[in-house]
Amino acid sequence: MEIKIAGIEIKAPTLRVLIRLGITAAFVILIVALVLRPRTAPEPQEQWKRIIPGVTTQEEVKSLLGEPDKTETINGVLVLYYTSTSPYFTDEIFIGSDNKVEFIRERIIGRSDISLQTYLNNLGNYIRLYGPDSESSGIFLYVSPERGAAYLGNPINDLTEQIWYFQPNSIENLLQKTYFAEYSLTEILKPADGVE
Amino acid sequence: MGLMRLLISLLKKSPLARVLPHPSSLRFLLLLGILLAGGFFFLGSSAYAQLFKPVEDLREEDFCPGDPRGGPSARSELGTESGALREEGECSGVLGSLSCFFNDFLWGELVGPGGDATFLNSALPEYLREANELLLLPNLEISGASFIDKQGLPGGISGSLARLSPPIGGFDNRNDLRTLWRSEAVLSDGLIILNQGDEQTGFSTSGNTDTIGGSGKGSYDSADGDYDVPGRFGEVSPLADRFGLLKEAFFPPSDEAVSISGADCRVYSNEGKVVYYPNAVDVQFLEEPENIFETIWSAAWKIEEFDESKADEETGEVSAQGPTAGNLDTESDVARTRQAWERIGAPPREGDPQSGGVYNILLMPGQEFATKEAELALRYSYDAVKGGGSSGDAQLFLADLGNVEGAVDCIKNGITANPWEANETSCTNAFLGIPPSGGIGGEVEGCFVFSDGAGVQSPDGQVVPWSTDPEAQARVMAAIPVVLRSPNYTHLVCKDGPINLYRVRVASYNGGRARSSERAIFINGTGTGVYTLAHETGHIVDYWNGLFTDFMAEVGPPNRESFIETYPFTKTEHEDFAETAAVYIARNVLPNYAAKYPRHYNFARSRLFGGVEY
Repeated sequence: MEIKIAGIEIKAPTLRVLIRLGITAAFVILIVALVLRPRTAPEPQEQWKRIIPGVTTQEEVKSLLGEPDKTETINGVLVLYYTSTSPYFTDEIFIGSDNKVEFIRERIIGRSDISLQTYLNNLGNYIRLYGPDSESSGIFLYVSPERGAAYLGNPINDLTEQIWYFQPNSIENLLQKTYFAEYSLTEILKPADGVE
Repeated sequence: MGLMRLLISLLKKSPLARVLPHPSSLRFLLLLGILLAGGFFFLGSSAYAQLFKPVEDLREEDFCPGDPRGGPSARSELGTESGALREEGECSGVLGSLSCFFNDFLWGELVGPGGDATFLNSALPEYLREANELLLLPNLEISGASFIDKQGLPGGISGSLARLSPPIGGFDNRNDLRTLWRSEAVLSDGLIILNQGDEQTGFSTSGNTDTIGGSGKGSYDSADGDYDVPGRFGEVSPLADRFGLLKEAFFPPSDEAVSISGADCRVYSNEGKVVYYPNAVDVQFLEEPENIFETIWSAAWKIEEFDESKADEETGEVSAQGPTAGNLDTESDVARTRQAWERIGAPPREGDPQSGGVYNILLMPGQEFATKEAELALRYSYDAVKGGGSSGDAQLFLADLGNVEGAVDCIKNGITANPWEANETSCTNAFLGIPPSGGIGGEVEGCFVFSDGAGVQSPDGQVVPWSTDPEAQARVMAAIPVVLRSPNYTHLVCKDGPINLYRVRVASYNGGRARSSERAIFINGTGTGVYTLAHETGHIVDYWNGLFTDFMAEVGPPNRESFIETYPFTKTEHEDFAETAAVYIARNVLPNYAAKYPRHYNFARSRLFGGVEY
């Protein structure tokens, strides 16, 4: 069999070779494209003292940090209190119903390395949430849902008061959590204070 | 051309020769041309020139064709949208735009929305803000319960207010006088009242001219009846050192002598050209005072009304008389001075932020100086006529101060010239049509501004003008002096600018709400008393002063000491901070405060209120 393309006669064997070459080239290009395609690595989840929310169990916490200074059950959630690096507070670890760490609140007031801006620079993308002290005292919560971390602080003073660790989730789901109950994407109006 | 050859020769030998076109080529010339043009635009930009030109070169001969008295307005017509500390250059046209592009690129924060290279109020340098704060700041390092206690102590007032002190009594008068003397530098020529003992009392008017107190000390022109006395204004008025005060408004306090030439006192024409640049005035603090500074401030002669009945008499040695002589006692000086200051410090007209006294440009947008009533009158005692005396309150208030632009020539005329010779038009020209100070858009008490709320959204209610509830305003006005009794707390509350007070109508509660970032307090219902205002100012202090860490360290609520019980809503550390201040001021709310919450109390007493007891 012969076919004519633009006045050039191509015999059947040659045509088959050309088709095979074309298929092979397309396959190679596909493989290369798949291998070299840019992939977005998931944001690394923040962890605290090797404790990873959603992964670390209560027993593992105790093996890492020892027995807590105090335990308490708040609204059915077990809270472990540990001596903080801040001299004025204790850190809190919330244990979920699956016996895994659900939430960590680290209080860092009094530490020297508490520049909010530095933290936020490292955090990358974040969402600013309003809280009960936003209006009167300028305290906001800066949340990275992907990283599972949030910073509570005053951008004017550049002071960070707390660092939160939690299992990465969407902001909508996070706002349903108990520990986010006082925070909102929009301004929260408390009852006016200073009542006479 | 020789230089060009040398440059080309050096270029050929340098490694750059490998990457640059050959010097004789058209491409090289083109590149050179572009570089030169760029450099021209860049170096020609006024902001660059001003920033890098040595200050000693910025003298009158460079900018000032003449005395501006009677000349163009001292107020720049190059308006910017938010008020500017200075205005330089233009951004119109291709070249101007290119020049401004470079300015933008290099000095972005200095370029205002109007396109002119400006220091925006919103970008007010920190040192200027600090200097402004210090204008009225009592020295916190010196013990004393109040401003009154401290003002009589050397160094008791660390701000420029000290410069307004009378040389007799008050502050450290010797140092003040030395400073004043030195600060005069080159003052205006003109007729001033000289206060150098008896030097002026012994001259004769019999000749056409006469020297006063020896050669070079002055002259008397009998034809014109003028006394031309090269006096120093530092001696003239107990309210002196306007230059020093202006200087200090622009520079942070320092032990080192600073030159006022860094302060831009230029006057601009309507076209934006500098038409007057006041002479630099250096203020130096001398460690080794010379005898010449041992000036005793007292009136040298008495100016009396010309007595027609004695016109034909041989006058011989007389007290100074002049055909237009007037009562030249201190009060007349003060009155004129005050008038000048009022013009200088006049707030801007509504909707015309550029129109106010020039000192107002130092303010952040939306700010204005406190009213005169908020400041203390300065008591002076002035022996206007030798052997006599007068005294009173020299009501020169910092609220009346204008900024530098236009102030200098106004001051020169208003202060250093004899009143009847003073050229009032120099001030009038500068501030024509500006209403007297006192506040526009709301009454002012302390740093609190009673705002009518136009355009302001209340978080939870309708903002209404205070005029609709004068009783509530009166209550708040009565509360303010109580809240601001402590100078230290006043500083913490007020140092970052005024606080707008808004009246809110909400039926559901009585109380207050602070929006600290906006320096606004909303007051509703009966929340017009001391406690509410004190609590809300506590939030302002918390937000703006970075004391929260210290609060947690020293008080540590709720672990080290429980939250104060009086706060009726959800207690947080920050609400507790505000309450710490509130119950310290409103002692009746928590009578056993010190005993029940000693950590809170001690923090309030020492860190917030500077030891002042309520």
